[in-house]
Amino acid sequence: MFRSVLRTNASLSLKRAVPTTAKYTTARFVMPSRYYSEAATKLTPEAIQTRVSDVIKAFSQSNANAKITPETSFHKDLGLDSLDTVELLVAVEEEFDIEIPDKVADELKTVGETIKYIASNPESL
Amino acid sequence: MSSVKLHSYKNFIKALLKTERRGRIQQLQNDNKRKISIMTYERMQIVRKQQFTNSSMEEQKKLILQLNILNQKIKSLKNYDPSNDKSLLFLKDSSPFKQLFQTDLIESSNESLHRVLESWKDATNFLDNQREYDELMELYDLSNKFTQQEKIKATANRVGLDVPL
Repeated sequence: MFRSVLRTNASLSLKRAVPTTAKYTTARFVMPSRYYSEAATKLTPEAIQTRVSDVIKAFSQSNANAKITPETSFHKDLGLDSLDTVELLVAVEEEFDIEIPDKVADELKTVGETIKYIASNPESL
Repeated sequence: MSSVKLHSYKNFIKALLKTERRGRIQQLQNDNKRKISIMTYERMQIVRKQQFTNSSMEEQKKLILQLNILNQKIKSLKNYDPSNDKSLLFLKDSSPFKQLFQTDLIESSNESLHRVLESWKDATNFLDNQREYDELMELYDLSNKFTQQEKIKATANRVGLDVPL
């Protein structure tokens, strides 16, 4: 059994040997590009909104039929009580790897306000 | 006062979620690994069949088709990353804690509230510390979660080697 595996591997590596060396010569001149500037890593409001709405959609407690816009209110449109809202905000914190301070969290009532806070937080990923 | 209650509830839920999420991601990863190894075994069986039978062209075609399907499945399984799964950001079932919040925090009298809040804080701290302890144990190879084989593999990888099949 093992011999058959070895055989197939050997034949594969032989076949690969030629094209990979050819690739190497061209690949050597490609400079790796890295961006340390803010623009490359910064979250756009659109990206934040899609991620937030994905999180809300994954929440079984929320009213899944509602369309999620920045004006969507957690309580009125999604039908979440205060404890559900807490759970949702915890999920958002985990998603973006941030801590929402208690005072700010009490003020967050709509999707738009949440997005605004995430965008203003420099630590969000 | 109610906001203080809500805050302690939030901290508790957060600690609970972090613990649960870690475990669930690990479980999904293990499941994934198991599925991949089963499929790899199936693939090996098909390759063997291909080599040893002098079967007709049609059968060979069928085998190749099966092989392709298996390869695709393995590829999609390898690409699956449970940490991207948004449903893992929520607790599986939070209703017991909601009930606990209702009975414990809302209905407690003013004199005992201080003590109740303290006990919620203790529970949160316990969860956080336990998680951290588990993470550190795993980091330093002391946990019982790994088999001897896996530990050897990790040690070999640390010095840039790999164990043979």
